Amino acid sequence: MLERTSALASVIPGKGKPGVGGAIGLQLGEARGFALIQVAGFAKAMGKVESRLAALTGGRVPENVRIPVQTGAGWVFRTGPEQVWLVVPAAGDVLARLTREIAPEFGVVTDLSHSRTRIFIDGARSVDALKKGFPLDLSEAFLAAGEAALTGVHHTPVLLHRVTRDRFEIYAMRTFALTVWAWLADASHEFGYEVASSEMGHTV
Amino acid sequence: MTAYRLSRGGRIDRRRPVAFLFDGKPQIGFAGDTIASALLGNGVMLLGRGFKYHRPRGVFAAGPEEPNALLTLGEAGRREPNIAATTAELVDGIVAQSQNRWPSLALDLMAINQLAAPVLGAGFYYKTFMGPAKKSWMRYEPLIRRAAGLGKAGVAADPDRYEGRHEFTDVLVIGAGPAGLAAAIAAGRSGARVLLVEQDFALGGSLLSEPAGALEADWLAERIADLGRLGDVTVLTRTTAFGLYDGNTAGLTERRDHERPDPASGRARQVTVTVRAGAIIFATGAIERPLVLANNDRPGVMLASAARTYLNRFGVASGKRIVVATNNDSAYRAAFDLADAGAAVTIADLRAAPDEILAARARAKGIALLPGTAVAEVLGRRAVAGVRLADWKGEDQPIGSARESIEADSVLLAGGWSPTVHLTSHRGIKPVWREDIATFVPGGFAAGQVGAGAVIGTFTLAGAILEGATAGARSAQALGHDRSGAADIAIPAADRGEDGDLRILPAWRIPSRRHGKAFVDLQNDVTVDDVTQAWREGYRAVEHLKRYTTLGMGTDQGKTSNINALALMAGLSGAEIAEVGTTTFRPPYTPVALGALAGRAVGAHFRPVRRSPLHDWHVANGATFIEAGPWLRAWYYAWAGATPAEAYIKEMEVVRRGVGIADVSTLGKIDVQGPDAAELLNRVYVNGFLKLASGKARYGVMLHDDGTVLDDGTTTRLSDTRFFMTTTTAQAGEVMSWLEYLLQTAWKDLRVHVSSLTDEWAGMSVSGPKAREALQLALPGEDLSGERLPYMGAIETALEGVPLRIIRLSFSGELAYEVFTPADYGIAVWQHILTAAAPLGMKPYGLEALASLRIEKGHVAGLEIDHRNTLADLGLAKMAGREKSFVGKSLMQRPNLNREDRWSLVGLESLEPDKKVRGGSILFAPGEELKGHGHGYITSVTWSVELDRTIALALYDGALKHEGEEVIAAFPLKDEQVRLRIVSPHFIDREGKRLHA
Repeated sequence: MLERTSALASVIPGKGKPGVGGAIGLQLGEARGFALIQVAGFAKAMGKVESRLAALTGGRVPENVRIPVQTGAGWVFRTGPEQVWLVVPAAGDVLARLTREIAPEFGVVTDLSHSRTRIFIDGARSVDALKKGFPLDLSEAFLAAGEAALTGVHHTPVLLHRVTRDRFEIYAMRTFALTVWAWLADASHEFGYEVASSEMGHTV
Repeated sequence: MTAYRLSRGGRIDRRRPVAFLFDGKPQIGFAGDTIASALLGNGVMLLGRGFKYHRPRGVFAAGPEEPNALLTLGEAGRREPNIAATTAELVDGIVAQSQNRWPSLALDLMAINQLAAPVLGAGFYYKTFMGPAKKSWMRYEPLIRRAAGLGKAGVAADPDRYEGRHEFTDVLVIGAGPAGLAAAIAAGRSGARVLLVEQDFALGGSLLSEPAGALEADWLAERIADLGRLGDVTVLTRTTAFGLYDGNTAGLTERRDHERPDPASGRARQVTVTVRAGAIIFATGAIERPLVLANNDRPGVMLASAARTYLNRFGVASGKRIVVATNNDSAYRAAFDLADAGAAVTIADLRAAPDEILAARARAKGIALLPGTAVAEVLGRRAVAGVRLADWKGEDQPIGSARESIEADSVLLAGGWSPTVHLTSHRGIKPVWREDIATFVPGGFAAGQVGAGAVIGTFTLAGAILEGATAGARSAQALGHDRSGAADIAIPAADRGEDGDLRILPAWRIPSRRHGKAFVDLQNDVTVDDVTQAWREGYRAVEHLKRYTTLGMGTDQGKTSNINALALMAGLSGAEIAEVGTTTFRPPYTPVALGALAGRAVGAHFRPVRRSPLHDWHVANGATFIEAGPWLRAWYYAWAGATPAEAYIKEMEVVRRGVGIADVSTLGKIDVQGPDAAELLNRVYVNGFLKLASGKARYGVMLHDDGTVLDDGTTTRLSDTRFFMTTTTAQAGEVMSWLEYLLQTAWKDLRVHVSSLTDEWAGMSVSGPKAREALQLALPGEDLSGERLPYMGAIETALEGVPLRIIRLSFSGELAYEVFTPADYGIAVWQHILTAAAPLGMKPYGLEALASLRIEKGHVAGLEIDHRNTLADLGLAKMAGREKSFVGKSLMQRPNLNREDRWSLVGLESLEPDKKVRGGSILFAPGEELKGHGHGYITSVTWSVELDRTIALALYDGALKHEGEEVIAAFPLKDEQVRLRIVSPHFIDREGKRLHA
């Protein structure tokens, strides 16, 4: 049986660090067990692609990057004018169905499930840790729970998803995941953090 | 007499003494002190030495404008030089040292420089130290630097943490004096998100210098309470706005020394904050400037406003017999307060008729008021002993002969006020001269920015509060936050008679009839004579004056000197000050520690590190790593040796004689999909891709549009509409961007999407004569015969349900396969293959062997593809399709790209086995002088296990026209030369029998 190895296998499970005064204010971890499917339509056929997507996921396709849509199938993120990402449970058949449903003349489907590592940070001081590197206004007025941003941290491109007020998920490039994790852990140090066990399919 | 601490008064907490060391001597101050106020309170007047002449210097100011009292704080890794004692908050245990003296501050032998003063004028080093030999300056410079200058940074690693942070706000208010407080409160009441930053450790700005119990003090306490009641107002003290940048972005430095942050707890000592604001309100106040007179640098001479600050804020009197030299009203406040504190005060006012109300008050307080009188000279050497007074009838009139000398222990200078326009000018808006208040004010503000209070020339308290409140409310309103009454902020009834407009009689220098240096810039030891000399020698522009004399340089950037110098220049030129203008203000406003700028980008976090999906296996199995761009790659493995030189040869032998496996996950991988995917590839590659069959791979080369080679790689057709492209590791990002660029601009009609798969797929190369056998052991059910999987064939299959893409191609020149699998399965598949093929002796090989194998084969890589060479240069000219069009085809025809003497690919064999051949060596013909760029250079070099000698690839003038000739490879840095012979770059298997096996 061939086993998957996470990019963060060397740090999860692992120990956190207490912060100032021994505080443990944050939880860092990795959400696993998801499939990331990229669907890109051709300019004149994007409408058809979107309607197929909507039918398949049971929800509408988001209009902009900032406000993703949570459907019955999972999260749908707009990542470009003609491009969306679906984050769905790994065990499902969404990829196969999309590949069947979206004909090559309308658009393309690409499996990116292994290309991103989903790192989460949770806790009341999560914004304080993230603002050390994310050049984003992380106030709830500008990035509310459920909203997302295509941005960058530690010189690498990431998708940042604010799942709840205090929980953020960072979709980091797999090959940079450990460096992003190290950055995040260091940024979280003063608030104290613990490393959570890997979560399978959390919030998908 | 020296300065001394009063028995009561001030904003210090006398119940909390704070112990510290100054030059090794124990000192005691109080919580709320700066180091300067604590030392003055202890009667320490001598804090430093002058830059050039090493004259004794004391505290001159009470803020960041301090030119003299620069100290080195901390020890070992925490040693930090050039900190103004006037801004350093007193913290228990501080170790402070004076600077620029030898052997001690009290006995500084370098003061001998004063004897050489006549030859140390402006620009002396430009003239004096250029001879006699050509490079004499190189010998003099270290000596000069040792003899003059500021503090020295430590060399030990700093144990503290530093970091950066991003903040966003509606309204950024810079400065928490009366205008800034009013602005923040008004904007906050309007509903805006407000960030108020203050460089001091206390809020209040100029109000902190008002006597305790005054109406202003009550007002300050009430406004601070107001701020606390506003929910969305963030206040950052100990935070300096050091720069203004595009898009209402400001740079701040936040200091936390008072917390004594423990790096082990993760808390940073300093933070660089990048603030993006909807609006910025500058409430940065103004800085008092001195009068320029003889010996105005003696310890005990300070700005009048500073003396008032030390008195009212810190409970420290600057002396007992005080002379105030002024040309304006503001100095009277200091005089009155000091007289109230018991000092004997004399006011020497240049104006013949000072304001009557002020004069009456002065007399009522027992102050000796001397109108029309100049302090012509300060007496004393290590401390103020007195002053010499003279009649003053204006700058255009000769100063009167010395009228009298009076004893004094403190001289206070009040030459007017200079608004702190630095930040407002950082984006290029020049300050403008205002004749009525004899100073420069901001020349305007960018959209979304406004000034309030003294920074725009409003020197009354009421005016500052009103302007601040209005600015706060309007800035908030412009951003959609509007509540009536937001700007209604009480104004304290200022009936003390001193809160009037600034009445001033400009005076830029007080000439003396006696000898005595009159310093314009105290930090850089620039005198009136230096400015005059510079002007005499032709330095008429202020920027030239600055660079020739060093005036306005250093840690204070001329905050107390610039305006006086400009005015002196104007006077020498007969020009108006407005015409002379100012020098250019650039960030930072005050010094910023390099650590704060670097933040956490040090050590392991210096830059991001990219790791292969197989990285953990390499770690666990004895790999030594090497950085390759952002990647951390397995360089060689412990099984093969302890050193790279030893290991890579063994690893090469495994591949040439058996089978090895290498991690090639770093290759760029791109999904090219769509009905027009083949057309896209056919346009970007120089060779044809339209007819590539499914299940087949093809080597391709693509060009920049200027006709030079961009990259090479292999692309596999997986279906009619889907291709799997690989690129070199180095060019992966560039190729991806190039394809996206073409699709989004030039060829929007093509129905193709490209996606990076570099992170999605792990890749491994199984290479060697036994490669097929090895893979067959790993995939026993798969037909890997030459018939099903010939050279440049590809199959998609699965191993226990895990997808595999197997492409038969070779970088090493041996029979080889590249196996790709989804990244998380990379280690499992790699381990499976290694285990299955163990009976064949399969071993992993690293980057060094990988690169050496390709040199033997003569494959070009990043070292040869340097973005300057053509297809022909790299021996690839035959690949270009003659009938088809492709990017770069037109410009590759340029004559210059087709010269016969272009440096082109050759192989080299060493003729001297005992000598080392180095990459980058310059190639010369035998007997030729080893000078200049030669005829080419070595791009790659290795030991050949097949040929048992050192071989290399090189780019050489005329290439294989010279086959068989000898060349000299010179490496001038080590003075090494080696003889080599030019040969074909294909050192092994030119017929390709091995890879077709």
